[in-house]
Amino acid sequence: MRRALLVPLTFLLASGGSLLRAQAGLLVPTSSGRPDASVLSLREMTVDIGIARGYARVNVRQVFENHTSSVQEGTYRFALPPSAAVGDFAVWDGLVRIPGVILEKQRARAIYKELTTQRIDPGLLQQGEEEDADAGRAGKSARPSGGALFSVTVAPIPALATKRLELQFQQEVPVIDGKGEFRLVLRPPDGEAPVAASLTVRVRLEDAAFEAMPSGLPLKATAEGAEFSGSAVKLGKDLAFRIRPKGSDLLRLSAFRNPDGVLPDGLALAPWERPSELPPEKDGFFLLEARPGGAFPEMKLKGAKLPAPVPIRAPQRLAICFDTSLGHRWAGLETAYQHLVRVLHDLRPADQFALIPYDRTPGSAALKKAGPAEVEAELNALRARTLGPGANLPMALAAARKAVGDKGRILVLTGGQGAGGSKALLAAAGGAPLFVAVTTGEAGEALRSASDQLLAPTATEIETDLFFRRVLAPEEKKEARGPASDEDAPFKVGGGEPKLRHIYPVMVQPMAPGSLSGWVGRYAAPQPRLTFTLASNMLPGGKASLEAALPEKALEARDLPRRWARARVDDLLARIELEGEKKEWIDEIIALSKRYKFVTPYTAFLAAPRSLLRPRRIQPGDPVLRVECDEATRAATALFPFGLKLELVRRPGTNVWEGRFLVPEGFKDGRYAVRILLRDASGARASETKYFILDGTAPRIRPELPASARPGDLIQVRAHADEDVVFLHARLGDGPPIPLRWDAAAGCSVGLLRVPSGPPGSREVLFEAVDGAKNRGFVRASLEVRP
Amino acid sequence: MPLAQSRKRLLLAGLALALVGGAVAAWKLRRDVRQAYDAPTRRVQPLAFAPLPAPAVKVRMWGGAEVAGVALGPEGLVLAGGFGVAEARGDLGEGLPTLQASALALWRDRPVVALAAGGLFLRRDRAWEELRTGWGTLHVRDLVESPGGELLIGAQEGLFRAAWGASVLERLDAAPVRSLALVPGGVVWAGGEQGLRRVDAGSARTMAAPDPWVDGVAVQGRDLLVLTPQGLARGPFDGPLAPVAGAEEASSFAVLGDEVYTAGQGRLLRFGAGGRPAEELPGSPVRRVFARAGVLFADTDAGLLRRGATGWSPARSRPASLPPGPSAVNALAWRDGRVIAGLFNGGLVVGAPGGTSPAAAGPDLAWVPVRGSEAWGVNAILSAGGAVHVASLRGVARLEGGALKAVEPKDAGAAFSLASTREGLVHGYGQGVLLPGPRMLSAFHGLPGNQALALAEGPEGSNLLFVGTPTGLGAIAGGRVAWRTEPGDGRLPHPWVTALAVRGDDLYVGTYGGGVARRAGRQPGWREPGAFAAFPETAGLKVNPGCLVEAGGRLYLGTDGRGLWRLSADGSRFVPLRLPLPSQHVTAIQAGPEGLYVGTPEGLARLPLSLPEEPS
Repeated sequence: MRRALLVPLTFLLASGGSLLRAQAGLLVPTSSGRPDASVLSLREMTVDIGIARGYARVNVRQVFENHTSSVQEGTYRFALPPSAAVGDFAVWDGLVRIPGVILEKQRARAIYKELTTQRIDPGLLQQGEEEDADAGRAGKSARPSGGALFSVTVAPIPALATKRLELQFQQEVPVIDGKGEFRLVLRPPDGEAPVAASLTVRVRLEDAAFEAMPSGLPLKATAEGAEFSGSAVKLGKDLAFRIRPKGSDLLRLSAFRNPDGVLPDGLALAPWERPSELPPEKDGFFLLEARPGGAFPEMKLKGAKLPAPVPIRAPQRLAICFDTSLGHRWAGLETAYQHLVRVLHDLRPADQFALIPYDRTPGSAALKKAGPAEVEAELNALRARTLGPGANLPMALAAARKAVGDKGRILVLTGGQGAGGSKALLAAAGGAPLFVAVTTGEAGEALRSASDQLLAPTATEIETDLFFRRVLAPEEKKEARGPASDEDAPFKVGGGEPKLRHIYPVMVQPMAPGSLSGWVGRYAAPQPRLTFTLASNMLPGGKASLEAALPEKALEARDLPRRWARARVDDLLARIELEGEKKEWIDEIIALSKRYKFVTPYTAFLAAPRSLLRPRRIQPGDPVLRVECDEATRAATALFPFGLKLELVRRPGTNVWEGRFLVPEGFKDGRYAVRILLRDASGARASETKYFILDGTAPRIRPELPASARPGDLIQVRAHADEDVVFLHARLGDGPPIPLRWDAAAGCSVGLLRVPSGPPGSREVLFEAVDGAKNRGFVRASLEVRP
Repeated sequence: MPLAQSRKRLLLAGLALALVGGAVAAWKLRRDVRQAYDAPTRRVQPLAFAPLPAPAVKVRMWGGAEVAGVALGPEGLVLAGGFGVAEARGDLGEGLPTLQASALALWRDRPVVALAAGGLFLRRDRAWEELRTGWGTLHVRDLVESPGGELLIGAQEGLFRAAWGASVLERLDAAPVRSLALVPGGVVWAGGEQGLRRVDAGSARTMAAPDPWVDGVAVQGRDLLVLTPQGLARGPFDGPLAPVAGAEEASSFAVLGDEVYTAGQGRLLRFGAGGRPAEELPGSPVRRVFARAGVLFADTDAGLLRRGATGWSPARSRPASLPPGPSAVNALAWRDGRVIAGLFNGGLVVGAPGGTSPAAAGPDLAWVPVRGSEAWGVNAILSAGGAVHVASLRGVARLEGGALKAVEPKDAGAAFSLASTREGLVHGYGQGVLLPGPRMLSAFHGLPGNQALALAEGPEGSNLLFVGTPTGLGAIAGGRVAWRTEPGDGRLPHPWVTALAVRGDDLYVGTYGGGVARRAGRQPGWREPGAFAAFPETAGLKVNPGCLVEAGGRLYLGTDGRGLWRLSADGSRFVPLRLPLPSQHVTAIQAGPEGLYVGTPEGLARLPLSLPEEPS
C-alpha cells in the first residue's frame, strides 16, 4: 500500500466546487465532478445586459453539448454578483422550455420531496447553498441579494445532444466617483478557463457611456453601448466594463405606471424582459436619483494600488473589532488581515485606534496613537492571538464603544459569526458609526441592519475603496435607514399630493460626491407637475430642485416595480431580523416574490422534471471518498480501478456516504474512474462513474520580487505557479503568510507584503503553494533590504 | 473536350478505386487490431519455489474475520482469510510474510495460498515455499486446480497457469481476474474488473456480461453463472446471460450439484433446478458461501458452518481475529487491562483478555466493537486523564462507559493527533492545533502548517508543545508559536513530520520520507529550533503518524513498508527488528503489560518486550 499517496489524492470536484463559486454559468458533469469539455462543453453563450438608472438587468442563455454517448447529469452553477437577484430560470428539455416557478419555499420543498419519491428529480433553485437541506431554516439568513451561488441539478442531458439553460438576474451597478463597474465573472479563479464555442455579448446603456476595462473581455463600443462576438472564446477574462453616467443633472426622476396591466402591442421588450414581470398595479413607481458633483482625489502609493487617505479631516478615533473566532479562518482571516493592514496604513499620526480581537470575549481595548511602531506592535499582538471558539460581537462592540467614546467610530472585520440580533448590536455600538466588512459567506441580516456601511465579501474594487474611504472620512450626516413616508423622506415634494409611500434608499447610501444615490417608492395619485427638493451640503447652495411629473401612464422604466419590490422585501427582512417574524410580513414577502418573480429566503424556483438517485457531490478527503446520495439510499459501494471494492458507510445524520482507502504502490499519477453503485430501499440500483485525480507532484513556483525595498515599504510580490494551485502564500521572515491572488492583467498571482523594520541586508521570502491534491511546493527568494 | 471527359472519368475511377482500397485497408487494420487485442499474450516466465524460514519469535496476531477460501484436504479442513491460514489443529500461517490471505486451493493435495498483500505460497513438508516468478509479485484473487493437476491462478496481473513440477509460469491472459471457472475441455472463464473473458488454448475474448465488473464465475452443466454488482446472472456459454430473479442482492455464490446458493445482505438463498429461491436459515448472518468437495460451507458471524444432511452445523469456530468488518488498525491505546484499537476505515474495537491461545504468545483477546459513530476513520487514541480520547475523521470523541461521545468543538473537522499536557488535552486538527482554553493556533499564527499530524509535550521545564505538520515542525510556548522549522531550511531530513517523541531532554522527530532526527536537549535552551541530527540508517524511511513510541525503556519506530525498528540500547542508532508482523506497514504502536502491540493495515500483533538485541 502506498500511504504516501494518501495525502496527495483528492477528488477535484469539491475543491472545484469552491473554486467554481466565483464563476458564472458552468454546467459541471456529475460524472467528472469538475468542468470537463470532453463531456459537457459550452457550445453557445449569449449575454444581454441592459443598464439604466444604476441598475443592470442581465439575461444569460447557454447551450451545453454532451459529447459522450451516454446520458449525463450536470450541476449548473452560477455565482451572482453582490447585489444580484435571480428573476428567472429555465431549462429546456428538447424543444420544451421548463420555466422555474416561484413557490413558497416550504411548499417547493414538499413538492420536491414528493417528486423525488416518484423518481422524478425536480430542479430546485434557491439562493444559498446547493445542498440547503432545511430550506426554511437555512434560507432565513439570506437576502434576495448577496452574491450567492445558485446551483441546480440538470438531468438528463441526452447522449450527444445539447441542453439549453436560461438565467435572468438584476443587480445594482453602483456609481462611485463618477463611474460604475459591471462585472460578470467568467474566468475561473484557478485552473484552465473553459472555452465557449460561440460567445455573444450585447450591452445596452440607456443613460451612461461605455468604458472598456483592460482586464475584461474586449468589448467594442457601439451606439447603444457595447458588444462582443467571437467563436472558440477562452473564458480567461471576465465580462467587465465601466460606465460613466451621461449628463450633469443633479437630480433625475423616473416613473412607471401601468394601470391597464397589459403592455401595448408593438412595445419592444428587451431580451431580459417578459410581460409576466409587469403585473397590473394601480400604484405607480418612481425613482429619484441624485448625483452630487465632485470626487475624491485619487492618489497612488508606490507599487500598490491602494485607496488614498482622505486629505482633509479631523483626527479620528477608530476601534477595530477583529474576529478571531474559530469560524473565521483561511481566506476569510487573511482577507480581514489585509483589510486591517489597509485601514491601519491609512491612519495618520494624529489618529487614535484600538484593535480589539474578539471571539467569545474581546481582547483588551485601549486607544493608541497611530504611529508605525504602535501599528506594528498591535499587528504582532494580533497574530499572536489564537483563534478561539465562539464569537460575541455585541460584547466586542461594547468594548469598542467604551474605548472610542462618543466621537469615535467602529470598524468590524468579521466572518459573520456571533453577530446576534441587530438590536443587541445597535445597543452595544451605542450610536457610534458602525462599519462592517464581512470576509466570507454572506452577511447576515443583523449585520446589514445594524451597520451604517457594510462591505460584502463579493464587493467590487470600487465598492471596497468607497467603504474604506468612508471608514475614515469626515463625519457625514446620518441618513435615516429603512422606509420613509413622503413626510420623512430625505426629499420634499411640492406642487401636489402624489401620496408617496414606501420609499427606500437604493444605490450608494448615504450620498457621496460623484456617486449616484436614489430613492425608490410608490405613488398613488399621479400628478402632472411636481417639485422635488433635496437638501444636502454636497449640493451647490445646499439643495437641488427638480420639476417633473408622476404620470398616469409611463411604461419606459419597467425595472422600477421589481426594483421597488426588492427594496421592500429587503426592508421587511430587516424588520423580521429586528423584531422577529410576523405572519403579515412573511405573507407580503412571499406575495411580492411571486408577483415580481425573484427568489427570497421564503421562496424558491421549482422546475421539473428531472432524474433521480444520483450522487450529488463528491467531496475531498484524504483519502476519503465521500458521496452525497439521496435520502432513500440504503447501500453504496465504490469500485476502484485497482480492484478495490469498498463498501461506503453513511455518515450519521446526513446523506453522505464515505469510505477510506489506500492507493496501491506503483499507481501512477493521472485521472482515474471510480464507479459508485447505489441501492435504495426498494432495491432499485443506480451506477455512477466519478473520476479522481491522483497527483503526487508538488506544484512549481516561480517567484518575482522587487530588487530591493526599505523597512516599512509595502512591496508587491508576484509568483507564477501551476494551474491546479489553490493556495499560494508568501511569508517574509516571521510575518504571517500573505495570500497571493491571481491578477489577470499581470498574468500571475500577486500579493502585498510589508517589509518589517530591522537591520538592512538580505531577507528570505518563502513562497508556498498547495495544489488541489494538497501537494505542497515551496521556493525561497531573497529581498535586499536597504537602510 | 473528349480528352477532358476521358481524364475526368479516369480520375473518378481512380478515386473510387482508392476509396475501395482504403475501406478494405481500414477493415483489415481494424480486424488485425481486434485480433491482436483479443489474442492471448501467451508468454512464460521462470517459476521457482523458495522455502521460507521459520520465524524466530512466536507472535500473536489478530486479523480480519472474513473467510476468503476453504479447502478440504487429506488432513482435514483448511481455511484462509483475514485471520491468515488455519487448519483443524490450529494456525497454519506461521512463517508467511503477511497475515491476510485472499485465496486458497489444494494443489496435488497441498495447500496453496495467496496473500492479500501479494505473493503465492505452497505448503510442503510442514513448511511454506514461495512461488517466485518472473512476473513479479502476483496479487491473486482466485485459485483453481484443473483436473489435470495444473494450477490456474487468477490475479490482478492476469490469468496464469502452472504445471506441477514445471519451472515456468505461463500467462494466458493479461486482463485482471477476480474469479475463475473451468469447463471440461480446457476453456477457462475468468471474470474481473474489465469484464468476463473466455480463455481457451488459442484465444482470449471478452464476452457480454450484465456489468463490466465481474466478482464471480461458475459453471453448472451447460450454463454459465456470473456474479456482478447487479446480482447473479446465468445463461448458456454462448450467451445471453439473464438475471436470476431473487439473486439481485447476492455478493457471493456457490454451485453445488443442481443447486445454486447465494449470500447477500446476511441472507442465504437456495435456488433449485426450477430457479425459485428458498431461504436457508443457518442461524447467523452469512457473509460468503463456498462449495468444496460436495460440501457447502457458509462463513458467518458464528464461524464457518457446514451444511449436512440434517442441516447446518459448525465446521470450525472462527479463528482468533478482530470482529467482522474492517481490520486495518491505525491507532492503539491501552487502558484498564484492555487494548483499544482504532480502525483506519472504521471505529473502535476493544480487546479484553479471554479465550485460549498458545502459552508462548500470551493470553488471547476477545474483541468487541465500540458503540457509537462519533469516531470513524481513527487517526489517534490517547488514554489520559481518566478517559480515552479518539481523534478521527469525524473530529475528537471520548470513550465513556463503552460508548463514544463527541467532544467540542464538533465542527472542527478531521482530527489527526492528540496530546496530554499539564494544561489539559490538545487536539491536532487539519486546520490547526486546539489548545486547552480552548484556543486554536494555525499557520496564520506562525505554525509551519495547519495540519497537525503529531503532537508532543516538551521536556520538563521547557513549557513547549511540539507540533508536527506536513511542512515542518513548530513549537508552541505560552499559547504562542515560539519557533518553527520550514521546508528547505535543512534542519530536518524531510519537512513532513509525522511522529514526535520526547525522551528525557531529547526530541525525536519522525518524518515521512526522511527517517528520524534527534534534537539533543543539551543544546542551550529551547527558545530556538537548534540543530537536529539525523539517524543515517533511517534515511528515506517513511515513519507513519504516531509511530514513534517509547516502550519498556526503548524507542520503537513504525515505518511504512519497512516494518518495526528499535533504538539501540545506547541510543546511537535505529535497528530493524526482523519479526513476523501482519504487515510491514506499521501504523500504530502501543505498549501493554504483556508486550508491545503493533498495528498494521492487516490487523495487529503482540510482541514480547524482551526481544533479543539485533546484531549491528
